Amino acid sequence: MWSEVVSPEFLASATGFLLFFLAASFAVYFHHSSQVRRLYVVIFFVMLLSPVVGVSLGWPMSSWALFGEPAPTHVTTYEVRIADAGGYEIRYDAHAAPPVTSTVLHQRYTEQIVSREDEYALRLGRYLLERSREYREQVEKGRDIGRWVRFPRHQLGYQWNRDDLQDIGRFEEIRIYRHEYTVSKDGHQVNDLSNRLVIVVNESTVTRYDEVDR
Amino acid sequence: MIIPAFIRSGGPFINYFKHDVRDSPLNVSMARVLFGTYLLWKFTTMVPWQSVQEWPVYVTSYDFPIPLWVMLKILPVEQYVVVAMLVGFIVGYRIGLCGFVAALLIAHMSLILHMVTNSGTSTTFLPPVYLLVLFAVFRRTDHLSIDKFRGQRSARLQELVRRLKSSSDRVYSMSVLKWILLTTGSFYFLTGFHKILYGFKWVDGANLRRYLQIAIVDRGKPLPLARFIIEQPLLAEISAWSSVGLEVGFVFAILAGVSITPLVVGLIGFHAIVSLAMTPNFFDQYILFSLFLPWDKINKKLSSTDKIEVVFDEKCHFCTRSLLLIDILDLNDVLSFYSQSDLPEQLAATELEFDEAMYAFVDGTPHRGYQAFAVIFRSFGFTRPVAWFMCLPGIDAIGERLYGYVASNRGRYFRCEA
Repeated sequence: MWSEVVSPEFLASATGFLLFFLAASFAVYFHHSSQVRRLYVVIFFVMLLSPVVGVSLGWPMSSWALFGEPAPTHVTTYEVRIADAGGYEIRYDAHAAPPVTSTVLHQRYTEQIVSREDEYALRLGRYLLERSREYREQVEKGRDIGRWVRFPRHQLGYQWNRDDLQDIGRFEEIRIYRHEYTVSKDGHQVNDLSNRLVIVVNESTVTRYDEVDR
Repeated sequence: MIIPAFIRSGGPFINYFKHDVRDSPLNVSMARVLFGTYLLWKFTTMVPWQSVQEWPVYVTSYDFPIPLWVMLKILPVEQYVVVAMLVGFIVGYRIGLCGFVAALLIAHMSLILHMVTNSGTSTTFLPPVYLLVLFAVFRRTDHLSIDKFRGQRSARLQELVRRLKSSSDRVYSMSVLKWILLTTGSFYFLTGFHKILYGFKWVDGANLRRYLQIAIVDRGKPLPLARFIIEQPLLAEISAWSSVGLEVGFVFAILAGVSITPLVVGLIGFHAIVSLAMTPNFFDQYILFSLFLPWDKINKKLSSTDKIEVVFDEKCHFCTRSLLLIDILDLNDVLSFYSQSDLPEQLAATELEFDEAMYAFVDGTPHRGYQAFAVIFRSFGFTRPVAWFMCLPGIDAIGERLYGYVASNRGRYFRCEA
């Protein structure tokens, strides 16, 4: 019964968080004791390095596995594009919907949209449309003074400029394309297999053109 | 001959695992101020927290004991608390409490952010969480802080005066920077370790070329550097090997107590190339590495060597404690402290009212009160901008009045026997 309510992920996450901050609060309070400071350092490094022995303690710990897996040779990727009523479209600029970055929006969220129910796609689609319209105004007016003082984003991604937006009308729908391609083993060749429109989301409807991934 | 000497000294980045003491405590305080300022900037401008609250769906599941709606509700309040805590942390006021509370709230807020982004944007908030706690735990080693100033309230005045007048040959613990360095090394080790798990599949130029090809197709913008590396097989091979070598080698260099400068320089270059070739941006790391620069030596180089004789009121507890803080910045040993009881003849002959204000003598010329502080601050590299600000028209007039008020009422507001 308990195991159904309290999942292993939940336990790992809660344990990691509580253990870290209990140890930290104890060490911060008794900081004058060198033994306590030493004990905290040991606990902290054991938690930090736990991924080495395959233990995942959850937030605020992390595996720190960046680009850890070998790059694939068969790649399925997605792209979010935004279109006007006439069907003219452009790649979605992730700056319109902070805090997500380009890869998170175009890859992680689209994977979710494709695999989850329409409600998920509709809620995200409406939000992205609303944000893109506001952001577009800002780009067209060139009034983003804040960019000079903002901390750099985690990804130096694709960004709209005034010229990109010149020929496109009011944003009306979000289009998601699935792009399949292969990369040769030596990394020199890219061969396109397909690039297909799979989902269109507007203010009120979700249209799926490919049911395979559901 | 300059370059070999530079290499012999281990380069600019300090391996605190080799020596975790220094003859000045400045590096710890400088690291706290730098790190705190960076974190305040990052926290307030990198993520629009309101959009995190409004975000309609999540990319990861929610696994935390407190209900999500509660966490989202308290998010705006947390923002202000974090800002207040970080300001306290930067100025060195209650470093333990401010550091711990900021760490706890940032960990919590970045957990929610992780549900929205599930990417580096959220995980870049984790190293600051660890560092805040380390600064809080090792706060005793931070000597240039309001906490240190407050902590000397109960010290005997005679003892403080004696310390101020004697030339210090103390050594100061850098243990907080030692553990921060090892923490930084551990992040890199873990990323390299995961690559090594896949053996030669990862440490292979072809693998890197495939990653670069995927970046070119997916990022939606031209990546000329990625194309260049793909077309140079040897460069791709060297890049793949050196990235793993740098990531894993860094922690071994730290633990072996050898110079970390070549690895830090290599990692800075590695991050810059990754940003240009594949777009992920690791700006945080540049700031993190700056914590290991020899700030004490930089300040010493930028500071004047002209002697200043300072006459202070030996009956004033508050004045003596303030000067003890300033004395930390005096790495060229230019300040000589005197009080009413041990005035040299030439200063005594000036017949100035040393009970009423502090004096700084430069080449025999006296500077009184507020101007004395300006003269002292101008002498040190790191406080020179403060001196320039103090001497701006209007600011100096306000400062003079403020100094006059504090000096004549110091017995009322501070512990002072004057």
